[in-house]
Amino acid sequence: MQAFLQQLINGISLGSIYALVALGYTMVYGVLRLINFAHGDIYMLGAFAGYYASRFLHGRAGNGFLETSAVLLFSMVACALVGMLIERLAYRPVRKASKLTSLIIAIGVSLFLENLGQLVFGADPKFFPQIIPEKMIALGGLALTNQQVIVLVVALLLMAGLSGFIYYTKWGTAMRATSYNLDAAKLMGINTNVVISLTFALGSALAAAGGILVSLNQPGIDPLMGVMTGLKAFVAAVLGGIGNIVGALLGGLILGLAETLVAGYGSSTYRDAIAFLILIAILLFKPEGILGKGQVEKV
Amino acid sequence: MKRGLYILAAVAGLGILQWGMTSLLLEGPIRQGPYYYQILILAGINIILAVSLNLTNGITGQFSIGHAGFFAVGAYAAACVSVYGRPLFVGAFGFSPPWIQDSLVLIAASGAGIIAAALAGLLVGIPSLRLRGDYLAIVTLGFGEIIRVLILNVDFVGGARGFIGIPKLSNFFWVFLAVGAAVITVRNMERSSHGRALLSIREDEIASQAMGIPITRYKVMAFVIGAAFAGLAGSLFGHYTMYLHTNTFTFVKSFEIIIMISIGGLGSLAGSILGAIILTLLPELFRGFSEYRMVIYSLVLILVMIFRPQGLLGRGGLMGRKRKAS
Amino acid sequence: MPLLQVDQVTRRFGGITAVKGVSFSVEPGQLFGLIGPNGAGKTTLFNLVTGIYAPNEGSILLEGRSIGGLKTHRIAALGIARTFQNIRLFGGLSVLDNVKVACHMRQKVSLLGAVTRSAAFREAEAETESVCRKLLALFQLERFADEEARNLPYGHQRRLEIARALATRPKLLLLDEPAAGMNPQESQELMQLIRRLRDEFSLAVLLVEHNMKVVMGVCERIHVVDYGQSIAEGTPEQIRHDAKVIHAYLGAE
Repeated sequence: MQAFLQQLINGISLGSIYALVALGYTMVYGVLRLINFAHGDIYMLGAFAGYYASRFLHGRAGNGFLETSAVLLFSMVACALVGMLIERLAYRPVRKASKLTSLIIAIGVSLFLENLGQLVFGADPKFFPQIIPEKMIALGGLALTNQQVIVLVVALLLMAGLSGFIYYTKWGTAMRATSYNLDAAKLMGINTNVVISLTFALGSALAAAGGILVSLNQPGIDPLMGVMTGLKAFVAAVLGGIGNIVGALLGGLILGLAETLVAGYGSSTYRDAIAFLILIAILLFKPEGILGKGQVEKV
Repeated sequence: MKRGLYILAAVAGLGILQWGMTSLLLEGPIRQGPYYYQILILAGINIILAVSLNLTNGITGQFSIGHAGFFAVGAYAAACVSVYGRPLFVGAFGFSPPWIQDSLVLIAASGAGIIAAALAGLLVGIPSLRLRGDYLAIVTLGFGEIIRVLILNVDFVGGARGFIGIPKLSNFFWVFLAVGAAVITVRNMERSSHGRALLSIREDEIASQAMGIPITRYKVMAFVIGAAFAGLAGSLFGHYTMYLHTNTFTFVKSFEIIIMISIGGLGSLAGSILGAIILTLLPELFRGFSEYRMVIYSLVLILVMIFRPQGLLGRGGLMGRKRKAS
Repeated sequence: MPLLQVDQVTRRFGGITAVKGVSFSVEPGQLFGLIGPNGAGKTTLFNLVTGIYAPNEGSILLEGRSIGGLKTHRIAALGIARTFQNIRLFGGLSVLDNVKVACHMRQKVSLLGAVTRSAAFREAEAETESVCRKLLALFQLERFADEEARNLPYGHQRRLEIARALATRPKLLLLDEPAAGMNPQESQELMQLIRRLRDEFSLAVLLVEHNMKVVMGVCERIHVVDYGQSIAEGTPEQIRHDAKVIHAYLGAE
């Protein structure tokens, strides 16, 4: 029972990371109907931005908490900018073109970021310095590391923040309007270019946060770390219903739990496969995802 | 009768080329001969992969990103036949000269590769092809990865260590015979009623159905034929490299094939061939700067797609001329 | 027996009932009109007849045979062809190829035959070529044969869509707002074209149209729907004076 609860916590922790990255996929798909293949690599860039930031800050800021916050903030802002830049340079020029072209460009951007990363950062893993020393917290018989708690808390705060923004602010409403009908939104006076840039910025910032949070638990980072995680986060987004914010959250958690339980109780070689199995199952039986609505093409 | 003579002449011509390649490049005076020979073989295999993917993606307009999976299925199935089945052949045809034995083994193995890949194509295609564009892309990506993971976990094809001991049975002759078959099949298909049916699916599925085209059946057909040729390419590949590892068949390979057909021009047969050749040669040209290679690749892909999305030979041709389907 | 019989057909989309209990029938060779205000369910009825949607209730019979819920391509093979409200041509294909696609289901050549370029294949291709060129000539489109369909002017595109539909050799031709965007001269030509089609190709035409001149001028019988339900049916003369129809349209012409 104890072990099971432990796995549960691990699963939720992993699921939160997936959810953070999945949100970026789902938001961009919502406004542009584009699968941003490069999104997983933003997550990777976030981890690296944090790495270099923490090396720079190490020991200079007062305590670990302040340092972590600074690193997180820096990384999120940096990736938000990168995300907006990518949208502006690579996706905007072909927004009116066929979806296939955009998809191929997204693949190209992804490959570009991964290989550039290998070139600039070097292919071998770097190790995140331990800003916050590991401490065990006992909670009703369970042993949690403070890192796991931080991951959960930060992820929750960020997701709550995002939801608040999307549902209660003017720009958030503009984002939702654009996701329903881009042309109508334009006609309503919404500057859709700004909305789309904002979407990319937010999604990238969250992915960056995911990259930092994951490095707390697994300090080894490398330029290809975004590949698998990106793919799985995408599966999570589809599972929950792509384009649906709550869906991304739900999908992330389910995937994180499924993966942890399969790896823990089943075989760890199939760990990666579970994501794809879920993907195929959902696409064959309910392609619009758990919370998605089927889209009927008007003839 | 006349056509039969043409075919015979073509095959004989290939045979002569094969002999020429061997003497000149493999056993001959040219210093880097074997290296050039290898590039030719790999180019040929890439051409088959590109041309077959173009049938599904370019001509029928279905976005499949799992082609490497069928490449893998074909490679491994064929390797199984020749590695585990070889004793049977030696037993049955032991009296004939080695080159006949080898040819028979390769043909049998390739046959197995083709059938296995086609079956995989059927299994993947039937449920997936009902899905809309983006979803189809993701499902095929997923299936490609699942196939790879499954193969990785099968021990008698080597598992994580890889499949060793595959006899070197393919050569210039067989590879380019297959290239010829692939190119002619796709070309003749395209310029026929069936080809027009596929193109109409790409242009407008609903109108296509309204004109009597059973679209799902055709999508699956294009998919299966594409998979079958990928399987053939896989067999020829395995019997050249003599070693198979699942790392060769990841989605990166699928992406590479997509890049080949995109740069050449989606839907264009000549474009796929050109794209395959370019993508085979480029890494070799960049041998010296191998770290920058992939960075430049991907940049080139992005730029081509932004400024010339129809690719080099896409609709509009090199000179902007219009292309007729038939 | 009637060529097409639509019997108490109902179709819902989520909470909305687009079509409710509609019944009408079209006789062979008849020019039949389906009219009603926007959103009345006319296109939905078209889509039901052509198999894009299946009826939730009721039946649709073609020459006595039930076709409700059949797949679209099956229904096309049974002899129902259509054009679309927002033209759906195969834009990237040539004008000639657009029509050739519609010949496909009649041309029975195997894939193997196509790949090996057998004699049967070449014969079938030659026949298709000549049939399609003749069809294009009928619509004065033969000089555009090799032009990309999307490059054609609007009026020509509409004609091409009709030519393409005819290539399937239908018994019933569904025209979805063929006069949309046409000036009075073009509408006049369209009316003549529709009558010619019926006479030369011995088919029935089911027409959805807002242009009342065309409807009244061409149709022999008219069925009126509003909010998904039938409100009147009769000859143009009867419909013109029907109180319910006038009310639904508020006298629009």
